[in-house]
Amino acid sequence: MDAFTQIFGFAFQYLDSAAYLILAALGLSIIFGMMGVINMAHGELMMIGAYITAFCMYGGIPAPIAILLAGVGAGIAGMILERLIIRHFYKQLLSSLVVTWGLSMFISQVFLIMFGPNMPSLPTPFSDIKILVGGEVGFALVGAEGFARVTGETGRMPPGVESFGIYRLVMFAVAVLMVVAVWLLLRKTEFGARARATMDNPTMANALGISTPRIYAYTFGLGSALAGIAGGLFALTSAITPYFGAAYTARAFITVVVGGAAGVINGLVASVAALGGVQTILSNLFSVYIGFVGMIAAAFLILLVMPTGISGYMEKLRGRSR
Amino acid sequence: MRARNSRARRLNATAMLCAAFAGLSTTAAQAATDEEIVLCTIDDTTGNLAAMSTPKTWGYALAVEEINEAGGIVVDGVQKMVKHVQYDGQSDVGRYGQLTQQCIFEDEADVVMAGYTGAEREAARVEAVRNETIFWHNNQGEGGIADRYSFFSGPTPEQQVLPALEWMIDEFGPRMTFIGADYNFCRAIGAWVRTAAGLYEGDLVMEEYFPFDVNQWQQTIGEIQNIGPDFQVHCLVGGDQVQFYPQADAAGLKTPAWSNVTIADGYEHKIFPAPQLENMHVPPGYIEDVPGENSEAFAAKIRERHPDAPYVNEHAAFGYVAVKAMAKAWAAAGTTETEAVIEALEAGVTVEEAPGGSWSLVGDQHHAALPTYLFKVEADHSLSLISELGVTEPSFLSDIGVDVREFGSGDGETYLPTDNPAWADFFAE
Repeated sequence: MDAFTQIFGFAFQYLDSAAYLILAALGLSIIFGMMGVINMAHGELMMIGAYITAFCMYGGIPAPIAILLAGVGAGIAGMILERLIIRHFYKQLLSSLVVTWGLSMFISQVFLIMFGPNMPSLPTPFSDIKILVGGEVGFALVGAEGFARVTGETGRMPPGVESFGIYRLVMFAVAVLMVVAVWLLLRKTEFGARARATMDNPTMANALGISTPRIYAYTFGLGSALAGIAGGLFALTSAITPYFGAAYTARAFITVVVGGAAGVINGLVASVAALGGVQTILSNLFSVYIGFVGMIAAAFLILLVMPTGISGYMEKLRGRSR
Repeated sequence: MRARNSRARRLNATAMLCAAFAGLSTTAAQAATDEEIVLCTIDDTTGNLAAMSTPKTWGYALAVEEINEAGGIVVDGVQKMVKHVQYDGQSDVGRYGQLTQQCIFEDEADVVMAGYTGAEREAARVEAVRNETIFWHNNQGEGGIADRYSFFSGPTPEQQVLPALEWMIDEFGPRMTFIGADYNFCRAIGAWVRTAAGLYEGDLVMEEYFPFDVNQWQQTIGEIQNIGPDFQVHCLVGGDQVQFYPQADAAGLKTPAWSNVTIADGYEHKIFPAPQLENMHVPPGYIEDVPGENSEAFAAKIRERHPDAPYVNEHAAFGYVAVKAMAKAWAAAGTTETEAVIEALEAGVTVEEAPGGSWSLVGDQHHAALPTYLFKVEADHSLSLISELGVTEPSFLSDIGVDVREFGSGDGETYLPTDNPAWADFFAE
């Protein structure tokens, strides 16, 4: 396998890993990173997004709109949860852990009872378009005809040629857009300023006339909506089951904790870059399993050196140098 | 004083509720009288595994209905009906041991049939065997369990992996890759795949196991493409692992694949959008698409009773067969007394009307000779029958000198391909 194919494969896997972690963690970085709420039902908010996407698409609604609706739906669901339950546990970390864990089990079981264990899967968008790398092809973006031409009668790739679906790259692009959008929202809008003020110093924010309960509700809703959109994106490349969200919750938490709460978006980006990198390198050198385990080990080591996460550590450094 | 009164009232109410529940549960689980033969089954009719396991209960119910309509069975000189007691395992392994005890002690079961996954099966089987009650497992398993009280109606790897891979090697070529879930069933299948490679001059160039929650497959897909095998072998289990299929389809991995955990249990061809499973080959002992009179008649009867059934799968067929086999054994023994029934079973029982084709229990193996079929999934997700793999006599245990008839109570053992000295070379590396 030539060097170019290897490098491309590596880069693709890295972007794939990064997309996965960003999408899984972005909503939680708002809820846990900014608000300090441990939400064990984060995966279930993603699952709600996935189901909404599925039902919309069964009804004929195109994927991008279905995913936006999933975000809206999950956001509303999040706000309802916040109002009814989460609100009562803001200062109680351990209680919110237990309560949201119970919520997570409750929501997934309700979906299991209502919709059964399995929903018909959704087709992956752009699945006809592929990137072909290496061998006699070099580098090409092909559609169905081009693919058929390359594989010829055997239906197999010529030696040395690897093919990649582009949907995972689309997911990466969407993830980056989402991060930028959230950053702009938090830095450049009045809502963002109020939200950051409330999280920093709720008493002072209240005294200044900001309605803190409403900010909490909207911020939680924002985090939930982001989770819902992520769920919708994943629904197009996964089996849709009530336990859909469980795989993402743990990795989302690890990513957010490693990122740190001092600078939620900066921390997230740094954390994804580091953890995604470790996972890609190790799984290429050894095996997928080692990549997985290594990523968790890396998180452990980073937290050992930087207990408040990467962004917390950066802030400490900046503070010292002044 | 008021507080004490209301507390007392609350305690009274609670006590009454408890008594009511206790009463309900004892009346619900009525001890079986001597006038009926009790078949006790435990399956997942709710929970994550319900989609695969529920059809098994349809098979049991149909068999019991047919037996009772024909007048029941004559045991101990009396015409007795079969009573079917059914429990829901709720897709929860923890419940299986407890429910098996309930079957044996409260329902006085004459036979227990339980479990879908190997873990559920073992939780139930261990209880049944310890209490010297006949136990049946009725879907595909890893084979190799030798125990006095345990019987198996479904296909085993020597009837699926061996003949199917012989065909695949013949058709596509010797080089194969194997990816599977990291637990005992797929590890056993991996060992059988290695055996097939040894026996039929195949070449297993990649063998990798993954934890259940791996759901990013791009790297593995790239690895397989690089190796460029003649065909792939899969044992992917669970909602995260099956994400391999949409990802492989999007990435353009078109190499034919073979899997014995797909379609026969979970009818994935109805759940995944076409053409994600195109070129998948599967070796069931029964699925609704199996041709023949037995199959058509059986599928029609199931659909008559369950018009909303998405698919009539392997479980439905072998649940049905197991009950029919027990009926013949009870009739032959003329009693439900366990040791006599085991003797009748070990003398050999045949169920000719088995949906997949005539089925015979081989007495010294406690496993059955049955036909298996090789199907291929087409681009539109329809199934084509590629080859009738024919009837494979189970000989794995006898080849290593195991005769289950010689086993006493508590002697149970489990054997794997690595226990066969003739195959030791295949595993030497």
